[in-house]
Amino acid sequence: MSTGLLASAISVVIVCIGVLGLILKRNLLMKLLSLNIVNTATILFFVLIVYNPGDRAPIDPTPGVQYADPLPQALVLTSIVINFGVLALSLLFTMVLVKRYHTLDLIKIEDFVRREFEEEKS
Amino acid sequence: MIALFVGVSSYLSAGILSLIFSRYRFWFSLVGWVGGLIGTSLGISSYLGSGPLVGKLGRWGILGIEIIIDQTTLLFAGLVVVLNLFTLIYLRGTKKGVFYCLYNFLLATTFSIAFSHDLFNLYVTIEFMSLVSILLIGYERKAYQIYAGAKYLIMSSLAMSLYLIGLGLVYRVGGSLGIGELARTLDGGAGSCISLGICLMLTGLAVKGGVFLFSMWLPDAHSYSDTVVSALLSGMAIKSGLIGIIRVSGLVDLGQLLLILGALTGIAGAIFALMSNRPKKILAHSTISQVGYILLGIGTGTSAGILAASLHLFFHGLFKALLFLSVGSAEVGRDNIDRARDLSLPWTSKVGLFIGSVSIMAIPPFNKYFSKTLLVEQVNQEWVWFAMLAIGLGTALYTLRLDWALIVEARTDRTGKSDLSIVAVALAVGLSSFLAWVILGSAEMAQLLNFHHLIAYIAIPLVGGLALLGMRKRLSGLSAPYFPFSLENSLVSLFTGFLVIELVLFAL
Repeated sequence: MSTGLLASAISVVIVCIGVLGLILKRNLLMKLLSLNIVNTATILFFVLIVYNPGDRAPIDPTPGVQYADPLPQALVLTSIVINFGVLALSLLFTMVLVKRYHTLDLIKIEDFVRREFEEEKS
Repeated sequence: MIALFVGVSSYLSAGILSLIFSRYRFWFSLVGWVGGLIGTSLGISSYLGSGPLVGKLGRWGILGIEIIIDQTTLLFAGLVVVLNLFTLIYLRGTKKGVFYCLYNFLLATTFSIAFSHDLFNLYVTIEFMSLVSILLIGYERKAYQIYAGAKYLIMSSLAMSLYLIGLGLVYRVGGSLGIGELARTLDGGAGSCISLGICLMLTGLAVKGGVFLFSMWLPDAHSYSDTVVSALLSGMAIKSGLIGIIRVSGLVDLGQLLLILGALTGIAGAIFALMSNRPKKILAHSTISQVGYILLGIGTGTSAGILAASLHLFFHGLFKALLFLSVGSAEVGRDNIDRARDLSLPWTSKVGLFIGSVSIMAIPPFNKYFSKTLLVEQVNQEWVWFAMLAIGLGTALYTLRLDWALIVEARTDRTGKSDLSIVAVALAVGLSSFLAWVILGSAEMAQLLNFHHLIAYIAIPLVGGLALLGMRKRLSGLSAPYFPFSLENSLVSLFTGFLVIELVLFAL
């Protein structure tokens, strides 16, 4: 098994850790951190699965040299930006929820939300 | 190519302009709509001229982004344009400039998803679409909307991470991102690496697309948000995931898996819709149920099946938007329908509800009848046929229950609140079956209008109505069980669904 594949297997393990945190933690902030772990590990996975040891950086056009595929880097940059946007937005939403209910416990928040929705007359 | 450019750029510029010059937001949005219409017509003329077309954007050779113009593209782009018109005449300048900005951005992204034929482009556009729609869900800044938006955000971000992992696997083996290119490289023969990758991508798209077990964020997000936002989300935003599934299904044979998922989604959505007792919740669960038909259409694998799925996608967008708008304009979306005698609806909403419900029950001259019969003709397995019958019966049951409460029991409000735009939308939905005639041609239409189908589709609502009369007392006692679609439950059900996909794909 090549180094790239082994390393990408490790990144899958990190994804699983993030998913477990996402499901098991009750704290909303912890959930967001776990989500961020999943997203980062995904990026790691994407970089490693197309990694080929010995490839040169694709900037020096000497003929006869094996170059790394430039496409995954472009893709990964895009998805890093998207993940940043997602994290910022989710932190904003958490801030609004905490301001309203003064708790980060998701089960309590869900309880409050349901009661508020049913009591408010449309 | 020019079709995509015209549509997207006009929507984006309309969004930015209506944020800056918010006094003229309605007119800028109208100009954006005209741009979208021109884009769609350019696409249609190109399709009529040279048939389905797959091309590359940009002059980068193999690195260019693949785009496609075929029937699915045109139906989805047309859906975006039509829903834009519906919601514009419903809004008529009632919201602020920020809302119009986000609204136009949502339209721009969904419009571009229609043309996308590239795995990574799908990822970016769908992610952008969900960010915009989350902002729209939380637009009124009520706490429950913020909560629903946060739930959607977390689940969709996780889903898109899974999609990206799958994309990495597919890219490693296939060596390109364009779906046409990939289909040529793989040529149907898929190894386990590709199967796993497609499986992960399917999970990601299913979370976006309102498939049961995967997208349990949907009932909250669609019922807590503002009327126009609900209509747009249910009508077109979730369809972007389904468009992705249609595109991906060309790579490997997913037929049996999609049929199973479709039947499960349709029946479970109908059961949950029957158990809910607030109109907006019923409509949100009904969206899940209708997604089942679309999956069944994709699962048949034939080109006519895909056409049936695309037609259903189009018609469902129309009548679901009409139902949401008519419930929302009467402001009864969150009331309990077991106490419908206290409610009052203007006559316009009742007309809209009536047209919407005869469409959703597939009663013959109305639009859904044609997409559904086209689908039935393509199905050649008996159990799928029975599943469709069950979904149809469930649809009839919850629709008639909603109608009985809101049209018959509720009083007609004569004082005001009547909104003529609902009647215009209802008229458009009622006449949209002509579109099926334009697309399918007279010969196919005559075949669809045969005696067996007519009898079956009139009988299903009748049986449903009789069953409802018999069960009425029991239903209102049984209704409103509290089933928590909390974030944790949704996540667990997502992974259950993922395991189900995995098992089915590797067992077959």
